[in-house]
Amino acid sequence: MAIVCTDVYKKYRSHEALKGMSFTIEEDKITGLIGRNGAGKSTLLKILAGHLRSTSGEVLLYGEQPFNNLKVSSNLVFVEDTMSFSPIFKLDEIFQIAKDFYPNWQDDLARKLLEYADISDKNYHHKLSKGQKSTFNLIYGLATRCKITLLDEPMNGMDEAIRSDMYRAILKEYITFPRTIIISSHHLQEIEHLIEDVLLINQGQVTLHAPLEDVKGLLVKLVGNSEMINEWINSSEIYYEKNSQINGEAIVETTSITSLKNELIAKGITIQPISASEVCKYLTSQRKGGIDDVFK
Amino acid sequence: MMSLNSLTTSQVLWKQVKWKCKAFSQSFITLIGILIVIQLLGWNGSGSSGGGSNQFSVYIHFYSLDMTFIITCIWAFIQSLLMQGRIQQQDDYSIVTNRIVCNVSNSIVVTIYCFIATLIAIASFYISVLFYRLFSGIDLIRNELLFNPVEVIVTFLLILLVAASGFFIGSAFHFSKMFGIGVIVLFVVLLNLTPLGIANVIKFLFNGGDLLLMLKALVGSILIFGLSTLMLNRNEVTRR
Amino acid sequence: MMPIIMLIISLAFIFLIVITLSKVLGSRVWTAKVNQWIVFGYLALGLISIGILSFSTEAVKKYSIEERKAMYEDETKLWNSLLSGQKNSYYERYLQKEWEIELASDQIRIVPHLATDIKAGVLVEKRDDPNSNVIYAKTYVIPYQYRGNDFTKQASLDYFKFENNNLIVQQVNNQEFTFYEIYPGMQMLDQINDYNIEHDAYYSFFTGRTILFLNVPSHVNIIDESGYVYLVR
Repeated sequence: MAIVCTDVYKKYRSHEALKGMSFTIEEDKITGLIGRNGAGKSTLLKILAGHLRSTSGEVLLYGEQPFNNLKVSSNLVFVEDTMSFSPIFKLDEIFQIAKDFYPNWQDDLARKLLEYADISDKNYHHKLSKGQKSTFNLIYGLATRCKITLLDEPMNGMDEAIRSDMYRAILKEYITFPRTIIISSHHLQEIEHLIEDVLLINQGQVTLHAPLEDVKGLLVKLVGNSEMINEWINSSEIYYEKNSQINGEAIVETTSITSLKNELIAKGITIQPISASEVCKYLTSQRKGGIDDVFK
Repeated sequence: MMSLNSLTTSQVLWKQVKWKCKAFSQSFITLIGILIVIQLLGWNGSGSSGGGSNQFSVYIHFYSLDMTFIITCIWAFIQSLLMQGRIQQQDDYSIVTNRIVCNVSNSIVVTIYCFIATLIAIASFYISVLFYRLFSGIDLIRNELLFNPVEVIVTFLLILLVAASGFFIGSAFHFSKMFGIGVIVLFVVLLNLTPLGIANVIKFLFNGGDLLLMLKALVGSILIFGLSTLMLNRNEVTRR
Repeated sequence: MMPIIMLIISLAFIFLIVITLSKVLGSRVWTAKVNQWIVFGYLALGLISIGILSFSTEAVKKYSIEERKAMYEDETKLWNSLLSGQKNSYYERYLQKEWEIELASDQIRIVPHLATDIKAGVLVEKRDDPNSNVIYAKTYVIPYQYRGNDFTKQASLDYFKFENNNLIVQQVNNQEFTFYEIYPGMQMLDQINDYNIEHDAYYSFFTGRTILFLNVPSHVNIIDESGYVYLVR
């Protein structure tokens, strides 16, 4: 087990960011850390990286706690948009520094990727644009080939073209040198083709930790007459509903309707699959009615 | 597990020292610039004393390290204060580090910088004397040695002590702004209001000759650096 | 306190200017390599300066504070020793020259030249010698120095001149000496340290005295119009 979290709490002065998170992540897997804004993704990653201390609970990375730990630090790279380097060094020199510190550093690869992204290595890190910074940070993180690579919304600010290129780069690098990667993002649909597992957190707690395939098939959408839907389904299992005579929708768990499939089809209710990102959305939503409720 | 990196603490420490020495080298340009400006302004520590007795009036102009020493002290203080700021420390987290290594490497870099700064101050002194000699054509005399190694070491250790205090105050501010302000207030209060005044501190330091002074400065500096390191050991990296 | 605060404020102002300048010129110029070379160059320049200065300045010995204290006390001790007639070889170190005055007559007049105020004295010792008219003179000079800087050689100490049977005590004009000294240390520290030495009172005293010791035949008449003569024996 590469990463083990047991009952982690993180309390700031005003609010509690993480409330009793427990999960384990296996070695050499790409996990997507999904959650809404403010769910606690960045906080969790910062605790894993050793930047913050958990208020209580245990965090173990390869058996060691990450805070103030040199062994963990030399095997972990945390890529985020506020990553900074000493302003006197050019990008070229930053690569030299990385070569000194990370034994697995891929200098060739890093320089080629940088060239591909059209960024000159005679430039300075603080003078890059937002998208260029994100690109550089990601290239840096990939080239270190650290056993644990944490990427906190790495594609922030990148344009479409380079975004897809970078996803491919992550995949190719992962295949060449397998490592434990956690990518945090709001947009599950973007990283769906990359990740193996989904770690869905909401309001500081783990809602779901399962392989992507399982997540996809977790919920289904029933379309049809709302009253009829409500007849057959217990209202407590409905994640979202839109009331209407003809096009009423309801999102329910797949398991709850496996036995009722034939009846529902007979009543004229269609069962549609929904994408994994929608699953995550509905699992973490507050209200059953969605935003339309606010406008009622 | 076999593919895990493991660098020893001392390896990481010396790599950090090597790169940090380069990273902050801009500050030497500031120091040299200021020293040159001071020399051009003519404030280069030429003091004079005079006296008269019967039919003799004697004036002695001497060129000493005073001014360059004071400037280098101020520079060292500000430099080590800034080095412990939050922004500088965040840059460390893009490479391998932990808090002890970060602070100890900062202390070592400060020490190396103080040594180089001492050399710069002394070079500055001789350069300014030379230029004075060239432009005014006055014959200068010296008392035996032109270069006094003991003075060099004393100067270095005093600058180191000042830098260590700057380092400590910088660490205090890093730890928490309130603590930093508290330390400064405490310092001012201790020096002015209590019987422990500046004069006593100076007496304590300088009583007993050069060797003892060097020892006191050295031990003091090490203590202060150690204290700063301990203080920041459990610090979180926040607000990047 | 005030001058120090003004000093610190003006220094901080200069700091600000230099720092702003370096920021404005930008990081394009100041790379780590450039910085390294500038520092090396400056240090090399300093080394060259030391080299040049070591040839172009002269090493002059300064008196230590113990020596200055000894000299200051010797001014009185030498006088007393000569006064008492005791032969003390220690004080012979101050003997500058021995000379003779051949008197034409039986009398010698010691004449001051206008109003002279010098740090000198004349001691006269009479000897029984009815046949000769020779006065043996010894000039003792305790080095004239201020804060360790000796200006005995530069000073004109030719106080006594023998002319026409008169020993003239000359007028000496006010002399000014300026020393330009390189001090590779810190005056501040020295001042602080010196407060702790018990003979800090001697730090800023002048020393310097000229004593003319005359050994005169007893039959010679001395007419002292200067007031500088002390008859010993």
